[in-house]
Amino acid sequence: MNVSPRLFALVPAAVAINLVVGRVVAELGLPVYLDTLGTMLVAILTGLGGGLLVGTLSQILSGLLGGFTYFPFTPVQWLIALLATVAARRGGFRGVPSSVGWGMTCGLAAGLLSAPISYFLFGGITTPGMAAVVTLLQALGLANVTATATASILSDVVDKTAAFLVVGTLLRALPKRILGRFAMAATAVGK
Amino acid sequence: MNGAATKSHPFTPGAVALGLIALTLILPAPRGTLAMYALTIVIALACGLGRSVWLGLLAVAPLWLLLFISQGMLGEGPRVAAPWGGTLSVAGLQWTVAQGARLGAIITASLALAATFNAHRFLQAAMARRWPFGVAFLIVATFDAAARFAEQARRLREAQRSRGLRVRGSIAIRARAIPALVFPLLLASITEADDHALALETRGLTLPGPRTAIDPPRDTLLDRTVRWGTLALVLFAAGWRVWR
Amino acid sequence: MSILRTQQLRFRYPAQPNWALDGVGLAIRSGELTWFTGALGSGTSTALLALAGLAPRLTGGERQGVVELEGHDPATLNPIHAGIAYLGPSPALQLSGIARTVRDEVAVGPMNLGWDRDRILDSVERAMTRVRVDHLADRAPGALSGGETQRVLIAALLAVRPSIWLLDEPFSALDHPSRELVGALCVEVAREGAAVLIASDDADQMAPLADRLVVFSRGTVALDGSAGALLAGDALLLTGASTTDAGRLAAMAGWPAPRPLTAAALLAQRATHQATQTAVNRPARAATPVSPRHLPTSSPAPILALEAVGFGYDRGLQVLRDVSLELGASEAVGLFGPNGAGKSTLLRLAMALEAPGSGVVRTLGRSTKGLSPEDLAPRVGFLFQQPERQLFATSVRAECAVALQLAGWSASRVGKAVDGVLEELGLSAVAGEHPYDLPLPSRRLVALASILVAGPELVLLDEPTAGLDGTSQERVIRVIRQRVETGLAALVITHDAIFAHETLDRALQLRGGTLVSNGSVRDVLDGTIMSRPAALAVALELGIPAGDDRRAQVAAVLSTTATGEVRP
Repeated sequence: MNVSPRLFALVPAAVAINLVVGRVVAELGLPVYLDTLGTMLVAILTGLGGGLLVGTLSQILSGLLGGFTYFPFTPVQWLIALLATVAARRGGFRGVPSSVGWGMTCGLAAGLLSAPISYFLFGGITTPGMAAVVTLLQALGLANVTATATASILSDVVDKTAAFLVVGTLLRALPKRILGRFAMAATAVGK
Repeated sequence: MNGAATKSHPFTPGAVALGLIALTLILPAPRGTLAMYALTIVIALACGLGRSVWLGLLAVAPLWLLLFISQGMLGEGPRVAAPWGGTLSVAGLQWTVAQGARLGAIITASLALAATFNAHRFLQAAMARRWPFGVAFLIVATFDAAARFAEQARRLREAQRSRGLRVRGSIAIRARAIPALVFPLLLASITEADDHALALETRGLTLPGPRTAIDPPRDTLLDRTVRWGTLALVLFAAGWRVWR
Repeated sequence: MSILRTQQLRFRYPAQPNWALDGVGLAIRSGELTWFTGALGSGTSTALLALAGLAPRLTGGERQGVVELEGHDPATLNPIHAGIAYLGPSPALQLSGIARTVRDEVAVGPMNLGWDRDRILDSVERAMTRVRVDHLADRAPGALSGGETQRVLIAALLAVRPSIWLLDEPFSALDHPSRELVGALCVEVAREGAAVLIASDDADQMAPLADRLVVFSRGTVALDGSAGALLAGDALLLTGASTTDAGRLAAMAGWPAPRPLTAAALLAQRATHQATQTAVNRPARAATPVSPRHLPTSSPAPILALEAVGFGYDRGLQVLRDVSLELGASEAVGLFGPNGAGKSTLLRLAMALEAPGSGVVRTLGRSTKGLSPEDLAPRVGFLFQQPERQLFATSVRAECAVALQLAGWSASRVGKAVDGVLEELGLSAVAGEHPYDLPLPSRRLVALASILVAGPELVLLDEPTAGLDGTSQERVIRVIRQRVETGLAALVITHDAIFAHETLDRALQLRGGTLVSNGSVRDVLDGTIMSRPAALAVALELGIPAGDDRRAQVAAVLSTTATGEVRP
């Protein structure tokens, strides 16, 4: 297998980032996950292939650590990697407004993909946080399907917008020596 | 059978766990899924993995509660009287039991597998089998990276707090802590990858070609029987389900 | 017989306009230990990467000119097949990540080459024994100290029996005894026929080992010859490279080239110039101001006090037992002791990162019970190991401003303080640069600047000079001393003998969690646990008392005796 050494080094680190940043943010008690930053970064810096690999490995790792119940959501990771790559090619990270715009788009897409997975496989009960929101919406009168869709889309829009903001800020703050190593990083911030 | 899971060939617990998960998804609800949850617990306990059972219970209990509320209490369709006076949806209750058992089985199986998974033995086994090294490497290296970054995140938090960073307080304060706590990790992962890549290259980890496993785990008859038996069981169950 | 050659070699990193190597022509011979040195940024590390064929293949960038290894271009070969071993400067990043034990880690190379199992095990055992890490064979690689990691990596390289060794700062994390071991090993390997190239800033370590010294300056080879001859001369110093400690002392004393390279040689040379006078009868030394720090401090309350402190982690391992100590303003105290003696724990207790199990820790007069580190900042500053890992701003200036902004300082106050500390640490020229674009020593200086900027009353420093080149080490020494003289209290863990001698007033020795000694720094600089700086060796020989035995003061003494005339 002729994988570049750089990818061999970057992919495990990116998966670790997904996991660890998710925990850092959870420790801060903020209402976002931010557990796909590694996927997005590798997708933007090395291309879609790397992003898909990181996304898949992340699902396997978090499955081992917390249960493979979330494995069916792997396509969502793939979609995020894809949208991050597309956004990068179009210079979507060149400023806060465009990062937010692309983030909301990604959130909407991710939410629309994860809603049916969440509904058909889990009836909306996936993580305790999401499940609580779904149940609350139902208690307010929505049907289970509507509640699941709403919760999914809302949480993904918030989370992915925040993620794109963080990634955009990071990309714009990269040192020259890294921008020089990754051609796509420069394109992503509109240079 | 205590400790049997950790002494077995690394592929065996994985096969068993995946088999249990597959069966949980294939067999009809609610009796099938309940049976699988029970079976998962029994197997885990027999292998001395009681802690995983307990952790699984802790993880899934809030989901059971929310399932009950979401599907049982607020579900649709014909209803039945509840002991405390209200009504409960019949279909919702069935779904709660079936899905609850399913979630319980999957989570417990996953946690039990995690408790026995030794990345290095897995790598030795993969090398002995001449599996593509890249895949096995990535899995093992990811575990190592996860441990390293977790440690780094912990130290980073201490270092930033020692510079005056506040991590408690209003949402705004906590959100403002994100750059200081997250950016160095992201930057480190990118910049250190280059140095690490040099090491991987110079130590031969990117070479093609066969590698020598210096400590290949033993693959006993029992191991092979269990693995193939699990596969057979899953195929049988799938076939049975399809032809019913 | 030259095995590795370069001709008109030029190389630059991606997106960098300047050439890191700008016309290098070298012929490296087998059986020799060649030493590369030079000022920061002169190209020594890059040269090693280019010779290994790793630049530009893995680093990116552009190469011109010729690099040849026995007729092939190393950039087209896989290093391990070509018999090339390369060790980078940061030990922790070189671990494979796939080894459960040290034995597995050392076996990685042979394993990847597909050797027979028996051959691997044999080679691994021999390599581990030779580097004396066999007692660590079953330990997890991730749990080792920096020095142990470095030795394990060297064992790992040894296990594949390379014919070309390219080592970048292989001694940086090693303690004094290990340096001798690894140094001897490098010489042995060269004698056995390998070509050994070491890039190092540590002249004291390398001078006795090197057969040949190549001095780089701005990407070219400035000097090439015998280490002894070059280190004693002026040309080397003009390039910004470092000479030995004794050589530097002699230079400070104004002695002309060729200068002595060891303390013994320095004293001998002085003796031959001083046939008529004995050390005891000498006239009064050139006036050196007594450091105001040695006058009794007028501030009564200690800045840091530990009262009968005990501490153990949850697993029941008692790390500190009944430790009591006090630290006042204008005092710099060092913590010494073997690994695991409790030194880092002590610093952490002072910063309220841990709470004592028994006893009281009082920092700035307040008990740390119930305090968090952010409460103590910025009046207390803590420099962690590998401090560059906490940098996250996009410019050096912004990074220094972080702590001040968190403390709520006004913009103008922030600006002034940042300018001041950058000036102090020699970072003004790079104030607008992204920290990650700077070399590692500079990033560490930025981290130090970011905790000094708020003018703390107490600093807790964990290995402040680790990984620094000679010039940066000088800056840190100067800054800490100046601040201590104007009131700063400092508690320091260090393995740097020169830093200890130049900045510390007292040495606390910890063993097994108890304080076994609270006394003179001279006691720890005895040449066994830590090396003895040249200035101290000279001072002891000449009977100069503690407190007047710093490098500048000893140099002043020596400057009157080189030729018998008083030098200004």
